[in-house]
Amino acid sequence: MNRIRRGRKKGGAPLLDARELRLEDDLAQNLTEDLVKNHALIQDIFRNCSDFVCHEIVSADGRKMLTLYIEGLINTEQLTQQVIGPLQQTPLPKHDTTADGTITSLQESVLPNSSVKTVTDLTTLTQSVLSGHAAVLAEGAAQGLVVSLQGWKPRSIEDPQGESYIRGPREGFTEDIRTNAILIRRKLQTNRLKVESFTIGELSNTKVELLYVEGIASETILAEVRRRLSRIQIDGIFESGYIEELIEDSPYTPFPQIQNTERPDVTAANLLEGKVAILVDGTPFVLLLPYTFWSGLQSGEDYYERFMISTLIRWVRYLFLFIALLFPSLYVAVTTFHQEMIPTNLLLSISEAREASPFPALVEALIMEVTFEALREAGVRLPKQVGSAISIVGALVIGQAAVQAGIVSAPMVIIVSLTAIASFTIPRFNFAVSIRILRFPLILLAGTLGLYGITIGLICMLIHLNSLRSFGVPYLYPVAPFSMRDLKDVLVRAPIWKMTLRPHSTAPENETRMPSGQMPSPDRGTKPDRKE
Amino acid sequence: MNIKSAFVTFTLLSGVLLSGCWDREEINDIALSMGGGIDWTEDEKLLGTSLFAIPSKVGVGPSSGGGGGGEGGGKKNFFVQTSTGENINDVFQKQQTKLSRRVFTSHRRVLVLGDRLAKHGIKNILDYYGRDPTTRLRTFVVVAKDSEAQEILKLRYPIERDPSEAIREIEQLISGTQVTIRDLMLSVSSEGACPIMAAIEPVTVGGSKEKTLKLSGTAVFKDDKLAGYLDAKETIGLQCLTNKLKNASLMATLPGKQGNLNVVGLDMKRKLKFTYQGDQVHIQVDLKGNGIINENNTNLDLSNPKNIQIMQNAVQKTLQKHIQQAIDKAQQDFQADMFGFGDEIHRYDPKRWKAMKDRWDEIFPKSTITCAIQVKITRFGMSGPPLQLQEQEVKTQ
Repeated sequence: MNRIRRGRKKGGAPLLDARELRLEDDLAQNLTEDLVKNHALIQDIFRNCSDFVCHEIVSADGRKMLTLYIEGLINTEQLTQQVIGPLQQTPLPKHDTTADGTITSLQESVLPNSSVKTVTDLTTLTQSVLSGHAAVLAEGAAQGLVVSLQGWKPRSIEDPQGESYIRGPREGFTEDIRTNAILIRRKLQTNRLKVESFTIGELSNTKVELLYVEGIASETILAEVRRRLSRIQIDGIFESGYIEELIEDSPYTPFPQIQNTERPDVTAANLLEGKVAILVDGTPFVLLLPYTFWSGLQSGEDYYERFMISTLIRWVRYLFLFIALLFPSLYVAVTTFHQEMIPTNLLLSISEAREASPFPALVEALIMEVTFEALREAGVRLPKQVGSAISIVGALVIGQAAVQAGIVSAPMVIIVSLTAIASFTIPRFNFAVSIRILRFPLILLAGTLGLYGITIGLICMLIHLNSLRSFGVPYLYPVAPFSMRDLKDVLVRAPIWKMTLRPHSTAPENETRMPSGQMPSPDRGTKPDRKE
Repeated sequence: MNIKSAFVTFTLLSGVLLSGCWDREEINDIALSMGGGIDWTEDEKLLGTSLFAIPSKVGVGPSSGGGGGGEGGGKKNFFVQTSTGENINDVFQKQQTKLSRRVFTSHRRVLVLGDRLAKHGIKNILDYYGRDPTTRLRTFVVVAKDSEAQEILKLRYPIERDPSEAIREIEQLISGTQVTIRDLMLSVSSEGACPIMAAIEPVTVGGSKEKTLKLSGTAVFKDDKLAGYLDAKETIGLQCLTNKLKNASLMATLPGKQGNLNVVGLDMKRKLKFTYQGDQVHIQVDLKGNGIINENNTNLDLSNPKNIQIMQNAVQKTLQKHIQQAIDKAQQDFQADMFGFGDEIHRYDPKRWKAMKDRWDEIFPKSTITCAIQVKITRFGMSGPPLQLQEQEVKTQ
């Protein structure tokens, strides 16, 4: 187990003040044979923790013992049945009254539970108690026992809210890292699925797990991920977003470089492509890396529907990506700079609608876009029951009344609505957000320089995208650098039986996914060596 | 290092921002010119007419639907502005002083040339339209036959938005001589052809004072001056000889009061053959084409191939007549090569053309043009003889 704890040892400024230092000294000590001293130390460590319970019992052979736990964190019923009961009823074998022997025989004959472990230092003991164990200390023993008696129930496995599919598994990750790892393990029942554990966060002591499939995932990427994870120094981690921001390649870009998902099936499929998953305790969002531009436009469901449908849907997404990014700016540019480009009758309709509007097209576009962003944000934050009220207000007030009152023109409302619909077709939320951000500078460029400005903006964007990398993989791969082979999952969604190779970018060492020639046909059984 | 990168950024930015003109213009700050007209006044000045759309009254948006209920057909969705000047720019400059919005000509569909201007010569107005970047090369050019451009543009054409739209639609629909500014430039600059364009004429609608417009044949120019007009039939002849007869409709009469018939979908293909005898050029035109009978007012049974032959002959004869009329007008009345035969000689026999191009205006009227026409009736509908005739009335042989 890799343990990442850095406080006083490295780093410039001391993280802990004098009071905390005393605590650190307490923690650094080992357990002694004197139960009273141990008791005092532990009470000092957990002083002012009203949820900490230190319970004194007398064992069957008259020995004083302590049970320590955090109230509510463990199952007290189990504690009584599995720990306190046996201790009080079963006497120790006579010959085992030595200090070390006590604990060993307790573990072997009184508490024959596989989750019982021996501890000798207070740090581990404290840590175990805090993470849902009950500890047992016996008089005359410089060791203690910790029993895992997790008493709180993680949220049950539910349909992932952020990524709901029409076809596909209905299970999503929960806040419990063990459940999440098991969900993945159940999809990939192989010993080659490796789980490396880290603890990050000086005070939160959050469990972080690194999952990959050995032999597929690139060793260089893995080494880089380990290096970046072990570099993190922070007081607490409460969401995988913390990790994402601390390990991504370029912070100053609107484009995400790490994917997050709530779905075990997506995670498992990505692991098989040679990607790496980072699980963080306390959040259902699992990080997947490396990430490319095109992953933002792909949905796991693409692989569950038949390939023609998925290809069509992908192209619809590509088209609507451009609409989401450019539609308002194109409208602004064309109506304020290039009126000759609009078909005459359309121009007449637009000019009629624009006749009464008090604002320039640029201002109008900005007002509407900002209003829409506000509406969306309000809709997300509000409880579901009130959320529908927002959409009514948005549709009626902004959509209809504003046009009738002559504050905004009808074409602008259509443009903004279509843009909104387009941005919802992008399956990855964090990617859609980056497109939303970029829309605004493009509108400004369009309003000041016309189509020329949009072109400048797009060129800058393209240069920027080309400069991005995610853990060594170029962001636009396989388009730039070009790889004909890996385009099969970008330009189209090739049939499953055609995707015989894994992406070269993430799985360079083990590329073969399946033998070729599996195109189904009625006579397949008679000609096993058929090539397609 | 910092100064250097700032310098590089500045240089690149100025390269990006200094390269073009900045012409932001809101849609409600431009006056959309939908059609234009040029006339030659009696005191020898140019009179420009522009037809502007009134945006608040043209579209289908809420403002026109809401308030316009009571006005109904009475609303006028365009207005016309005229001004005079020495040249086109002068005219437009003076026009701009009468307008609250900048004139925007990129959507001008039609340019109407007044009859008097056409007769006076159009050389002095062409440069503007060739040089001005906002003028569409696909603007249709027509001549106002026996009237002025401003008269045409001030008309009310009931079923279209404005008269310029009506002219454009008519041109696209039936005119055999759709001429755009680009075509006009090409024919003006070519040596062996003279410009032609459609002629539009204002007409009164049966009895009422309201005037609308009609397509009235073709205007033929010699050099840059209007030489005269062709009527609809002569226009068909002209189209045959210029290889532009496509999907035409033609009425043909059978000899000896046997009745008449109509052919549609008439497509004619031209083949030219030039033979030279000294200064005399002989032009042999072979025309081949297909047509469909869609009206038969004779008592002939079309299911008999012999009768079809009679019909074909009648059609060929009619075409021959139209073509001859057109040739006569070109050679005798206009003395202008409106068929573009000179261009064809230039193309096929450049050396000979070089020798004769200066005298082409004299050679063309004296050249002989003969036509061999072959029309094939491909279909005649589902019925052989006219349905209303009794069996004994039908002539099968």
